[in-house]
Amino acid sequence: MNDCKTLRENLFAYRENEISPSMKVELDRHVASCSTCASLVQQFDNVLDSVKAHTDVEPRPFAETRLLQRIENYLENSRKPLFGFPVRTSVQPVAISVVLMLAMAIGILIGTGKAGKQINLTTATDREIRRDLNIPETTDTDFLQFNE
Amino acid sequence: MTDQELITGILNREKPAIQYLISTFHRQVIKTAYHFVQNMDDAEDLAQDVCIEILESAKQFRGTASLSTWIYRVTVNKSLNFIRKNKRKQLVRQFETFFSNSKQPGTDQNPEPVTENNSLHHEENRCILEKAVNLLPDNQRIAFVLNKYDELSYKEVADIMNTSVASVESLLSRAKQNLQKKLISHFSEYANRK
Repeated sequence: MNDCKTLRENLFAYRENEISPSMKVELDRHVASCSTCASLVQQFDNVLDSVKAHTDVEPRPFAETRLLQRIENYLENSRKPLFGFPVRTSVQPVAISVVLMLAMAIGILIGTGKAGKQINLTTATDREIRRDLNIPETTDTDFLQFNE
Repeated sequence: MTDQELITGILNREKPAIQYLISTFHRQVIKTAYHFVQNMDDAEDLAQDVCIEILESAKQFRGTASLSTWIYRVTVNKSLNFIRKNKRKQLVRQFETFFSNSKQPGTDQNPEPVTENNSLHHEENRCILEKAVNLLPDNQRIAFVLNKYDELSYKEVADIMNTSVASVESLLSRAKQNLQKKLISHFSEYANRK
C-alpha cells in the first residue's frame, strides 16, 4: 500500500527515469506484483505516448506558400494609397475621420447659408411663405384637381 | 543570413528577407502555435499574426536574444492571447471532448483492448493529456509545451521565458506534479465508471 502511494507520487518521474536507481528497482518490483499499479502505469504510458504525436505534428502542405501570400497581401494593403496619397495604415482612420468632419462642416455651412431666410410660421401669411419658398400660388381649380 | 541582416532586410521591406524569414521560421511558428491552440487552422492564422508582428516590431529587436528566441516569445504570447480571447470556442471544444470521452467508456459494452495501433484510444489519450495541459497555470503550461512538445532544452525554454534554468526546472517539476494528479484522478474516475 505504501509502495502504491510512492508510485502515485512519483509516477511522472518514474516513467521518465528521473528517480534514483534504487527507487526505480523498488517501484519496478512493486509494479510487477500489483495489478492496480501495473494498470495505472500502462494507462499513464499510453497518455505519454500521445506527447509523441504532438511533437510529430507538421504544418499542412503549402502552409509556407499560403503564409507568404497572406503576408504579401498585408504588405500591399498597408502600402495602398488613400485618395492618391500614401497614408500609413495606423493614420488611415484619423485621415478618414478628418475628411468626414470636413464634409459635415461644409454641409452645415451650406445648409445654414440657404436657410438664412427664417420664416416665422406662426405669424407669416400663406402668401408670404409661398413667396419665400418660391412656391407658385395655387388656385381653387388646382385644389379641386388635386382632390379629384 | 545573420539575424541582424535579416532584421535590416525586414525593416527595408525587402522581399528576399521576408521570404527567408517565412521559409526559415514558418514551421517553428506553426508547430508551436498548434501545440498551444491544438487546431491547425488557428495555428496558421496565428502564424500570420506572428509574421505581421515581426514585420511591425522589427525595429524593437535589440539582438540581446537570438531571432529564433524572439519569434518563439511572440508566438507564445500571441497563442496565449488567442486562447484567452477564444475561451468560448475552447469551452465548446472541451464540451465536445467531454462528451466524446464520457461516451466511449460508458456506453461501449465491449471496449476495444488498449493497443498502440488503436487510433481511437490514441486520440482519446491525446484529448486526456490536452485537457490536463490546458488546466495548467500559464507559466507551467509554457514550460511544459516548449520542453515536451517543441523538444527545447531547459536553457532554450529559460531564454524564451526570460527566466533562469532553475526556474524552468521548478516550473516543469510543478507542471508534472499537476499533470500526474489530474491524470491519476481521471484514471480513477474511469476505473470507477467501469
